[in-house]
Amino acid sequence: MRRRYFYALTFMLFSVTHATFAQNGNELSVPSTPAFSILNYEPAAIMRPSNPKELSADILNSFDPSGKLLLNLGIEVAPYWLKSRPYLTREQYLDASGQQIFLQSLMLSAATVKDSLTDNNKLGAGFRFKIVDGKVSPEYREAEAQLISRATMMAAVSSARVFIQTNDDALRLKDTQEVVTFIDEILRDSASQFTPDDLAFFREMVSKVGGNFDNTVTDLIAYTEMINAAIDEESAELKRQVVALAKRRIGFIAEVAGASSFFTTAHDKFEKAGIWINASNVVSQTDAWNFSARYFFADSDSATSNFDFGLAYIKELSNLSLSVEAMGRSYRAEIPDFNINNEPITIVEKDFTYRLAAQASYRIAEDISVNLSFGKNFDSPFIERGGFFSILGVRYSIFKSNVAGMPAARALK
Amino acid sequence: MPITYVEIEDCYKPKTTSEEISVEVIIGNAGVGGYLIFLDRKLKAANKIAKLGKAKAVLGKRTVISATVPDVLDETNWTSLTVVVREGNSKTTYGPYSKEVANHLDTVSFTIQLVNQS
Repeated sequence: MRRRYFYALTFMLFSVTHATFAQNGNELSVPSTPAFSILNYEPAAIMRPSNPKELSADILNSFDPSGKLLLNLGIEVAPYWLKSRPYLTREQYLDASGQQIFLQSLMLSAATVKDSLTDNNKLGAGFRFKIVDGKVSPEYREAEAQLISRATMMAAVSSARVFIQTNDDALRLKDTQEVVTFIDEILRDSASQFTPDDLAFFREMVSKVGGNFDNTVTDLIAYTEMINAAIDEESAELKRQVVALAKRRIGFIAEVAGASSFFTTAHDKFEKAGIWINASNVVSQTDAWNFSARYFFADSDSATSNFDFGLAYIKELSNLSLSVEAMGRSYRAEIPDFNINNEPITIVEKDFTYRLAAQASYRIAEDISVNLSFGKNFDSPFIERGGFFSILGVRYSIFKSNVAGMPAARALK
Repeated sequence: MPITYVEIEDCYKPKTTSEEISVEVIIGNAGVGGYLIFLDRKLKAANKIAKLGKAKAVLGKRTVISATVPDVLDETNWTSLTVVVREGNSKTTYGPYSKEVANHLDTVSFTIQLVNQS
């Protein structure tokens, strides 16, 4: 019977893991890093190589001198982006489909951790990619147009460098006044690219830099660089806005993720695996429907499997995120045991249960949010407790500014 | 957010006397940017294909392409620029010129000068 309790404990821990996820926020989303999710652990050090040289260095640094994997390490890598893609235009990237969307969104992850229960070392490996990625919003297009306008203005300033350095006397710009007049004329000649506000902005940047420069080539080049630096500095928020809005796609979005974990000490044994499929219909920048299905399989000493599916509605306001979700779960556990004649038997526990939950998350600061969850959780055959829960908590992120953000909003990002 | 300046100088030899010469700029690595195309100091196009005229109009002059590309993609810090000169069925490609910025949101300014010579 002691053995049965051990299996029951294993199953219970497996179930509790998912119950804990449930209480941490919206269950109906693909994990951002599946390898960390399957281990239920975020490593202290995460390597994100961006080129083959960094990748090989990171892999080499993951082993100790005796060739053993170091613990508490994580790695995330996007294979497609390990090299420059000089012919991939913005439009091809934003409107990608088929093979291109798979390639540009594929993210591989791995992590190592020591299992505190069994004292074994574990390795998790996972992947994530998109099949469909909706489309960008009108707000994005507006921000992108403004950024292109600023970049064009900077291109006008940079072009003056050519005519400051030229040996052709007829073309050469000889002092700061000629430089500013030249750029001003370009901006007016390409009037379709600039509004009167843009022209006023350029004048403001010129005033900000001032005119204390000699008429040497070196000084005039420095003058153009300072004007560009001033424009660039003023465009920092616009750049961040473009980055953020490009990720907030609207329309139909479908994503797939998978992960598996293994014990790396003793027998290199499989522990568990999971696959997530998520389909969202982002109606607007603030509203989304989200359908998700996932399958988990664990095979330690007993075999357990969960199949979950569910639907959620998510609303994100400026600092408040709300979501309601309904999920169904079909689970099955095969537990080896002995009957009264001491013959080996397998006990099969299987059932269907469901979860209904509502969550609210209020962002107090960039890295801090207050979260409230309540509803009915999944039933478990091994844990005797009421199915209803209500949890009030504060999430604070030390290392990643987006972690403490509103969990329900992930589907809208 | 530092700005990196990439300056390239090359030459272009017109292939015919009868075909219009055009210049196209491709910003790669899914980048967002703005560019201007000049023939000497005369602005020919902003953020679109420039028509420079026939060989006679460009010989002895410089085609200047000035582009600014801020890195606004989380996935990569690479920025790149390719210039394509077309003349009838002839196509001459310059680049791609690629630059990996040190930090996300940094900016690269590309200036390509093509001396048009016979």
